[in-house]
Amino acid sequence: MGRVIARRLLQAIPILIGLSVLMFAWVRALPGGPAEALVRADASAAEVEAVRESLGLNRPIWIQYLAYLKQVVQFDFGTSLMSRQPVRAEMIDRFPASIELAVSAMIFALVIGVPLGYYAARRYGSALDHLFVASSLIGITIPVFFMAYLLKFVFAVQLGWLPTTGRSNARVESDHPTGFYVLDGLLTGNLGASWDAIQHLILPAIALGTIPLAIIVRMTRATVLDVMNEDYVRTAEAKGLTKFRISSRHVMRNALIPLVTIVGLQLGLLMSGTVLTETVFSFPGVGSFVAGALFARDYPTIQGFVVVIAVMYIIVNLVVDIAYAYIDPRVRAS
Amino acid sequence: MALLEIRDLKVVFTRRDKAPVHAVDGLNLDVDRGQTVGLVGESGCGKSVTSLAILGLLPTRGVEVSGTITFDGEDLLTMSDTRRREVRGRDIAMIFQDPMTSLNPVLRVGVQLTETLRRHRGMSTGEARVEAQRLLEQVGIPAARQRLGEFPHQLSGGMRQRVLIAIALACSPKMLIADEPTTALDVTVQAQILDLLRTHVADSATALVMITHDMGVVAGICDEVSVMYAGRRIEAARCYPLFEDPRHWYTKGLLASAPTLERPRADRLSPIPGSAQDRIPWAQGCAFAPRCPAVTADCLAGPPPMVSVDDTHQHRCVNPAQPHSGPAPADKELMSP
Repeated sequence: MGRVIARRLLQAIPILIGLSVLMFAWVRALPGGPAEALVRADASAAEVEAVRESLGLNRPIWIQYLAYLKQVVQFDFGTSLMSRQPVRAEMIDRFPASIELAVSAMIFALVIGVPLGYYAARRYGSALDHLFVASSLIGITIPVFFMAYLLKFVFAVQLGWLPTTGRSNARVESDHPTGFYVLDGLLTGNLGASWDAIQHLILPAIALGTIPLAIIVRMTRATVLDVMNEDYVRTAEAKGLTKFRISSRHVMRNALIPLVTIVGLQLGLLMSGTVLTETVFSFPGVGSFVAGALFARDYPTIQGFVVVIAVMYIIVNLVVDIAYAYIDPRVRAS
Repeated sequence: MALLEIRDLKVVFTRRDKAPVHAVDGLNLDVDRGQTVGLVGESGCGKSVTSLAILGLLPTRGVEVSGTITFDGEDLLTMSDTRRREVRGRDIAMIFQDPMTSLNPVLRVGVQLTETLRRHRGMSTGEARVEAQRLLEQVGIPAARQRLGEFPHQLSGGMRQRVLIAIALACSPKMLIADEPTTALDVTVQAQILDLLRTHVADSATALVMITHDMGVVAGICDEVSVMYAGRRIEAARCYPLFEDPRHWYTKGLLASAPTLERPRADRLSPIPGSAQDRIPWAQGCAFAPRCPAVTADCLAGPPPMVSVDDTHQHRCVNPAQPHSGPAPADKELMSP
């Protein structure tokens, strides 16, 4: 198991180097050159010169690259042009919110999707099966922002059950050592704060999780149908095991293998795709911030975002690989 | 009363927009305690479907099962699902054809073996492990303790079939059904597996139903043989009388098509003409009539009844082959594994 992890981490290095080369080249290909691109549009010639100096643009290109690499390794992307704060500080401030939201959305999708998909497969061809398949199609086709507005209107505005916007209620006192509010509440023994953060997460998580939910329902249904026809499930039946034992031990364990792939890919997508949901719920995550940065041509922020997202994709993939090795012994052997 | 009594078993697969398939069509079969019965026939004759019907493993949708299967005094077809799961694996166990796919790839051998012991014999995890090791040793697996912690892909095909046999024997079942247990294995391993089954059946009073299309396997292990064709038994006898003196033309053809050591290698085998698809419904006459070399008008005058040659030999042919007539049937020295 340790070797699997070590190998995957080593494989991440060339990916990150490739990415840094791309980013390095991209900044140097910007209109007007990197120095002009990295300052605000109304900057004076002296300011541009200062940036040029700080970037060391008069040095050989490979030294420039190494210097750049050194900065990237320290997650130092300079100062945001929009907020005039260091990009790193902005990221630390906002990424936990988006991660918390993406993970909540995935938990929602899994907790609802896997049982539904399993049930549909067991009742293959029945009215309920058709209903689940049809509604999962609807789930995929509803745009995220529409779903978000709908949920907000019904459950927050009309019924008033859940908060409309934000991550937490200002009147609930809380400390945030990690930036993950639910976790923070648990760590500081402030369960009220955790509960408040969860309430704020419910609607955005459902809005964001609807598409993965639909995909997981279909995927689970298809793989469970496959696995149920395997010879080893017939062997398990022939042993006279209980239905529960057969489904939990023999069917689901095997059906998890393709499911883990989907969950990994979807989780990566969710992290970088929270913009619409965050906007509707005024959720202070990274998505809405980066959307603003794109319009403002805030290149330092965009660079930082791209690198952090890449690192997170690599981490998610690593977790997926570890999960594979845990579930399927044949992966461990190879 | 026999341990297993099958009466007028019919299994019909219904298909949308197509004629239903009568996989098993009025089968009668008795198996006594301690007896080894061979169920022989070509692909599609209903052998495997019969075994799945006994265990209750047929799909519920699109399948109609009728008749009775009485096992140890209880009708398997009408008992509750819960009761059936108790009987399955404890009183009736099954060994499947393909050891490569019949073990769960993500569970350790030990888990797959002990779960049966814990379910049916109420053992604790620790007791089950000790017993599992004993079972693996019993089926001739070396380093059994170590094997318990391994996964199926770490074992060879023969080893996997031994594990499956150990699983089947775990609760000392009253009856064991082996569905072509040696087909997927190479010849030397086939012989070992058959030896293993033979020894076990001789030591315990387990009834064994051996489903096969291999006459060599039948000759090697069975007390009695039932030959199936088109979902019905067409001839039944003790093993050697059947080989010596087959009465039904299908049995005769089956024996003649097996290679023997006496015949020169250059000789072509004599196959039965046509395929199992060329059949007529039993209600109209003998299902084998379209392929039979001795067909007469009588063959098509309704379902042929079971006729007794003696106490142990019956057949379903209106125009039976005479003893030692026609093309020489294969004798005892078949190419047995």
